[in-house]
Amino acid sequence: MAESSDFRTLKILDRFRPIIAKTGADYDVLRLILRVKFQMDQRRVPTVLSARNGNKKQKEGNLYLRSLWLYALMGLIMVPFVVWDTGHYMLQMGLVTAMLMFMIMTSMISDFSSVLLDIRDRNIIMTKPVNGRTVGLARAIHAGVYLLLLTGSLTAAPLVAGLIAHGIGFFLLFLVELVLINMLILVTTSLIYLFMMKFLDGEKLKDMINMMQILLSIGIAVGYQLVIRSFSIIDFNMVFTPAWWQLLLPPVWYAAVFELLFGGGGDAWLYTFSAFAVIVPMVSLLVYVKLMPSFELYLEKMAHAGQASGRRRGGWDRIMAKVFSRSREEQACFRLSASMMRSEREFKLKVYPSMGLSFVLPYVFWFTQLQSSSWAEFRESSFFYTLYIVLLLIVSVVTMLKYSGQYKAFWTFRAAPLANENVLYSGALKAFLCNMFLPVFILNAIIFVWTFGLRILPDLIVIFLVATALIPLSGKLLMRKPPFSQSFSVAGQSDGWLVFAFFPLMALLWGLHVFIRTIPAGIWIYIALLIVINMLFWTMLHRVKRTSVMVEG
Amino acid sequence: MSEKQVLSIEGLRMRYNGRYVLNGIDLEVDRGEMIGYIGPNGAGKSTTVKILLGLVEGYVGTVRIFGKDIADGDAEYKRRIGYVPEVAELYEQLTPAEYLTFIGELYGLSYEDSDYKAKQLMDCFGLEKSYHSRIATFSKGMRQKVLLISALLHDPDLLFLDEPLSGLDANSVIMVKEILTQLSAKGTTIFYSSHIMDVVEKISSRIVLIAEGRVMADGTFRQLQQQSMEGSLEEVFNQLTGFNEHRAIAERFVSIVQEVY
Repeated sequence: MAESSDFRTLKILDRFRPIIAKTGADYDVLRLILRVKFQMDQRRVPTVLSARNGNKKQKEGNLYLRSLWLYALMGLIMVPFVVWDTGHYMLQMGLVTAMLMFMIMTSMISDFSSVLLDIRDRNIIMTKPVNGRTVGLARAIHAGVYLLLLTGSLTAAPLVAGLIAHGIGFFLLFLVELVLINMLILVTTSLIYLFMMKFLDGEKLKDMINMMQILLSIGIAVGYQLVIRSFSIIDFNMVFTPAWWQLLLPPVWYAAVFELLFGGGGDAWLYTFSAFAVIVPMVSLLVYVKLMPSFELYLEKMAHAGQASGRRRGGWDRIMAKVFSRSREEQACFRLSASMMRSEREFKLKVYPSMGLSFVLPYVFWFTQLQSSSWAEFRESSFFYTLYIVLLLIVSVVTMLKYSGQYKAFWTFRAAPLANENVLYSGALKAFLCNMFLPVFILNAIIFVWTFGLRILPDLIVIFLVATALIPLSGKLLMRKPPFSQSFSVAGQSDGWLVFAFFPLMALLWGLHVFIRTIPAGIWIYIALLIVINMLFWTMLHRVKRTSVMVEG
Repeated sequence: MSEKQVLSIEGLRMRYNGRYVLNGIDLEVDRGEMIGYIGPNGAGKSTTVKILLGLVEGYVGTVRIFGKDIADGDAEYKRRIGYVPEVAELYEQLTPAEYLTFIGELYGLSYEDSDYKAKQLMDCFGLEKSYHSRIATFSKGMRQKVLLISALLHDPDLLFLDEPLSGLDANSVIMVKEILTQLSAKGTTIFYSSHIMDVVEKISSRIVLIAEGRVMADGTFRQLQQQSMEGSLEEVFNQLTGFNEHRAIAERFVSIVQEVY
């Protein structure tokens, strides 16, 4: 297949042949593996589509590449910070690198972990005469190439802006830093995985990695806030005070280099930060290359089942299922959905971070507000409306409900004598309401009541009822396919816009709420109205036939 | 290939989570032997094969393949091994043409040779028309055929097969069995691991039964028959692994299925 060898990336890679050979990898085999990997990536999505379309020639093209322009757009956010001439490189570049690392890291965890942890390679490639280092390096380069493409599109605009605003030196430094940042991200992610694989095995390991991925994506979101926090913003006089704990924040290291070279020198702290920027990626890369063969071996553990855990769950789900639904079929779907949400790793990986984020987001708004007003003022304010942001959870999770890593198991429902497919939808939606939404909402509500006092109780009820009405509605509009019946590979970017479409809706509901509060007793009428809407939505949108209840006597 | 001994395992032990999966396996295999490698689920069969293929490390004991200790870190010995894993893992997004040439090249064949060979072999299995369609669209039997071809493409001297007949229709089963017999007659050593005792009984020249990480029986089918005084391999297997309550358990199973509330 002569034509498939002309992936541009591989041609570029050929120039690094001597360096790669020096690590002990077999370059020809490495190239071969990468070529096949790229070829497969071009068809990543069609695995599902092709099953339907038979042998018809698919329009090929890497879907990931096609989504890059979106990242290029996101990159525009960084432009003002680059151009902004405050003379405080520490601040502006700190923000830029923080944003950059945030975006790269989240994408790394959610999209490329599967590349780093692909166990299929073991049976297919490791049983052939190929050494472990070659496979490991191929894996790292595979992920690295996409990471570079992603970074490239993200930073295209800021780089050009930097070149125009600050000159060629700035541009070159930025470029070098990008390479270092990518190296750091790729290597540290792999090392964290490696470290965990060493001490755990089987299912426990997978759960652990899953939890790490979730925590990491939430952690990065919070860390992102922390970077902004490390500059005390006092009427536009931004002062940066170095402290030891900033050594733990990579964006600070990279910003320090700019401050050092363009901001007119600096103290010992800046030198330390700058040194970290260069040395840490280098050292971790060396460690990584050393440990690569063991990475391959540890992957075996992923395939190996650990001891069964004797944990018994389901009592709670059974009770809740009985409370929320009457039909036996619906109860079964409720329980299944509840346990899928709790234990399906791929689902958790895609959903839990957005859950964590919608939990934290209101407080980010609080935080910015509290910069300018006192706590006492704040408690009297109408900032409790920020609870509407939690509704983001509904849209982002309900859109994901139709996906599952085990989507093929959906045949069970096709085989089962289900009278009505709607029980699947309503069961899943109710399970979501009860097991995911309620805990998040109640916890938030407690914090809100504690902050704003009991006066907001009616408002909380309104927000809650709006939320519960929104669940069946978004189920009707956004799910379209039965729960857990679709592969994540079809999810891709296409659903991302829905979340953005949600913001105007949220603003509308928010506005309506504010308006109704101006009418005397309006809020009580609104609540009554919402209760009726809720009852209608929950019963009408996913109509469950009652006849099927009587099957067994 | 002058060496007579293809594989030798001495005192192989392997521990997972503090439990020994392999408890000291000794085995010597000569060229051209067709070994039926059987045992109950979880007996350590696939662990053995994984160790032989270098997929698992951390074992105790010595494993020599083609006279070389596999622990020396050189993967070169795998060039003469073919492997059909139990789970048909393939790169489904590829076509057999792409997949098989990739595998061929990994074994060091040229692209042209592997393409030529793969096409012919696909043809033998009646899959010539599917040579350029995605594996993702294939049935279980077709995938299994692709897997078999990928294990044989480089004419290995030692072949590890784990349930190689799964998903194949009756005609293909006869054909594959015949292929294996002929390969074995020409000197390929075959490790045949399966739970279908009738097939193992018929095609193996030697049967190795492992249970609880030990070799419980080793010999020709006739020898095993005499040893355990049973008729078929299935019965020999049940007896050697100490399982004789199948009837009682089956009765209980059926009665639970038919229980009326």
